[in-house]
Amino acid sequence: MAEASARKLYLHIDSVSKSFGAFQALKSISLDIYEGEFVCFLGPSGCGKTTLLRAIAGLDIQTSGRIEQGGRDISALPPSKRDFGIVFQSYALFPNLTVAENIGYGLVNTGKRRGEVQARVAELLSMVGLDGQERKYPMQLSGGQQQRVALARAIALWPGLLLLDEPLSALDARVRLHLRTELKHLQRQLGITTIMVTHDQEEALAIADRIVVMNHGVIEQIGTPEEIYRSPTTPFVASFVGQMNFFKAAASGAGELRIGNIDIVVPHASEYGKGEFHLCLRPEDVQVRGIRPDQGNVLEARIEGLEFLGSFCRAQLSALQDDAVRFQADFSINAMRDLDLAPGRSLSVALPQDRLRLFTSDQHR
Amino acid sequence: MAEMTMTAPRARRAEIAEGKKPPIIRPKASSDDFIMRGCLVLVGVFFMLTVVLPLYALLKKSVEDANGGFVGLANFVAYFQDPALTQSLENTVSMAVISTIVTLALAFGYAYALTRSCMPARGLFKAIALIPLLAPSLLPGLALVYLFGNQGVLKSLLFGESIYGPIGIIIGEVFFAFPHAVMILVTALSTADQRLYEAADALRAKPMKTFFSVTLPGCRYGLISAGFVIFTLVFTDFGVPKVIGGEYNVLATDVYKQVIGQFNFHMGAVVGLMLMLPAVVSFSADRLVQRKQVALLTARAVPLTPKPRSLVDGFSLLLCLMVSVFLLAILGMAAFGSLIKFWPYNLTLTLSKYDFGALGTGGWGDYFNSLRMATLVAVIGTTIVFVNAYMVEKSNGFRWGRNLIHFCAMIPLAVPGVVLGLAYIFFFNAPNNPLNFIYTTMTILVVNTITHYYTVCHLTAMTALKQVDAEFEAVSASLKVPFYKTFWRVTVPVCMPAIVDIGIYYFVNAMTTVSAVIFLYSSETKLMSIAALNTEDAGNTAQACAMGMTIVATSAVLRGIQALVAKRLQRRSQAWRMR
Repeated sequence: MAEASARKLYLHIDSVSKSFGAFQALKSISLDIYEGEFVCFLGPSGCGKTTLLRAIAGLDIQTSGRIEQGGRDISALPPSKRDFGIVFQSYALFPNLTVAENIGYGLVNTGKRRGEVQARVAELLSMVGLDGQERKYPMQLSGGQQQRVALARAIALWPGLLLLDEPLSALDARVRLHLRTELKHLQRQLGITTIMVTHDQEEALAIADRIVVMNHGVIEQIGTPEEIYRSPTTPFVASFVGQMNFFKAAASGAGELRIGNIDIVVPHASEYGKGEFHLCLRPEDVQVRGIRPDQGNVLEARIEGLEFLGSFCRAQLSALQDDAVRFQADFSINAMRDLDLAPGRSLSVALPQDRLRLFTSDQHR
Repeated sequence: MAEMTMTAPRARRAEIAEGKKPPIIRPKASSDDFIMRGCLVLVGVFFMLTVVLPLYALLKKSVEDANGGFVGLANFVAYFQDPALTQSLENTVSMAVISTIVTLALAFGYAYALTRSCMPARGLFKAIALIPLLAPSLLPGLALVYLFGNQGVLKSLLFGESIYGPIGIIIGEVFFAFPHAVMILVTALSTADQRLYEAADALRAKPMKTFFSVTLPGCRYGLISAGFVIFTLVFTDFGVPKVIGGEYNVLATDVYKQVIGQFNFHMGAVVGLMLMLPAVVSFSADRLVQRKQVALLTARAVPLTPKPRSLVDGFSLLLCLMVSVFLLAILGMAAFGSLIKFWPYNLTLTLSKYDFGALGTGGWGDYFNSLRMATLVAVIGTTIVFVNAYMVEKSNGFRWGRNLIHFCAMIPLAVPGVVLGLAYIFFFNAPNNPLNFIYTTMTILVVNTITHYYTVCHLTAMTALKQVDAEFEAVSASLKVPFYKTFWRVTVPVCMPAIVDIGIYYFVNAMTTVSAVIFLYSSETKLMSIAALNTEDAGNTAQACAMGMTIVATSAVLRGIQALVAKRLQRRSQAWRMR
């Protein structure tokens, strides 16, 4: 964040709320986006991420709150008075116009000469890797190619802000992976401030400079992909991004924590006081090799089941000391071979102290 | 959203005033928004003048006495005390009920044969079923006169009963309503899921059981909807009972007699309102039923492909042949009648009946009036309908206004032609109406016909527009292109098939309509369909047939042109259209 704040503020969103009748889709959202940043709005469907994007675009103007773009108050302006390019999930390409006519649609209207328009369209086509396709109609292109045309059309007028509403979710998995790399590359090359809405956490982690995790119309957490993954600040973020084990834990108030009848050591546990907690640990952080005898939180567990997932195996474990304590652990194929792991076997595992995260149980998942 | 700020509850406004809530953003309207709202206001004025105020004038007339004083329900009381008038109410209901049952049964069998059997020539049978749409509704009446009239070829089949009366009305109405019912039922029967039939087979259900537990429930909304449509059509039809009804009075002919025959405008208004009653009831019931209709065909459904069943296919062919012979016989008899020198004594073929000038009537001038009106209705009507549907569907904010306009566009479906015509007399002929000058001009005929057939066109346009990507307007706004450029360059070309459909529907109906315009024409603007009715009234059935056939031929030629245009459009647009 320190690095980001040194950069120039581009989009300032202040206490933006949006109601549809009695339903509050956005609850006082505040957010700053810096010039040249690639930001992802991530969350489950209905979390308000698309509503926020449409408010920024002026397509569904917020009920209250202020939006400034490049220092200009755009809160009440219609879309045509704002400065953005947009790509929708459906691409919204004009089916009866050729690729070139689609891309040049806004340019022609600016009163540019034909030669200038053609030159810009050719430049954009080669930028998105569609040289020589200008005379085709959208229906004659593949989904991935259509997406590129939509992108070229969106950046044709050199907008200061690029808005992407789930642009990749209509594509095949393989094309999607390929295109998201290209999208990121193009965004870097142009240096255009970009906001992408997605429900795919993997996509957000791979592509974004910063992720805004949203749920029920509020922002749960803002951070770099690594911060979001490594240090989720709410149980919702912990469960929504990546895989996560949740343990119900009780604290006596004297710095001790118990899961079932197993004692667990957590740094600074005494600060939390007495009560019920959620203890979180990612399956890949369950330690199975190189456990030192003095490191603590070591327990014996039985393998209840194994799921082969290609490069690793996900094991369902239950603690021998209390078989109500169940959790998942990811073991590399090497570890599987070396330790000869199979369902029914028991083994020692450690829950590393520095990877455990504690949430009070009144925080919502 | 503008409407939100406008309708914010008072309590909320108070909170804002006290500073509890942040100020509500009032979106600034763009020039696009202003143009769109301007168009919506214009359309609102259009509906005010063509639907709302005329109907209000009709309602007002029904509670006034001859001097314009308010008399409450006295006219209605007088109506129910007049045995002649209540008799025709009874007649109308029984005609409508019987015709509905007969048409529904025939149309269901026919539609079932078209969609679920493997009989040959299904395309041809489908085309034959739609023939009556090309004809004015008085044409079946004329043909029945030739077939079963006092000198009819098949008179003996009636065993001494007269065709002039209930029998003639029912046969004519079945002919007239049949294509409407078939179209609805074909749609209802086409949406079937093969998997349901496979499941029934796997459960060893007998064919009869499958029919009653899968087929019928699957199309019950279609049946109900078709039933309402036929009932309303027959209940309000003017052409058939006018020609073949004889002494058997129904409501639609009563309105005509009260107003044109006896100048009793107030009683005419009362009968007109009676005529609207079942239309309003069935219209609301239909809306209700459609709301309950759930999508039977989900994306995963497997469309049904009928398998050959010799018994079913045989019966299907037999039924379709019989119905087709009936439909073609009616049309053929009218054509034959128009080409005969002097029925039944001199059967020499002649074209003399098509020399419309010979009898001192309007001659071919009436035909050109019809053509002119149909063209104007098609061009102006289609433009108004499509632009209006676009504004209702695609503009931002102003939601209550858009809903109100959408509602206004639905009203004409519940207003029978005779009633609309009568309402126009009351409204436009009022001496204090500044629009009085359009009375007896071509303008009033065009406006009336556009309004009369508005709803079906509106729904066609809305359906087409809903299939257009909802984000085109958003994209063009982001590219700083005003909406009307995108409307012209993208929306109109994409919707062209629907626009052509609307235009043809308007043209054909404008050529065949009688009911509304009969109150509104003048000697300069007489239409061919009205000329046919008057000629028949004067006893010249043969020439009336010739006039009816001229209309049929014109509509048929236009349908042919439409098919060609559609093919060309498809070829030109196949590069970018999915199908």
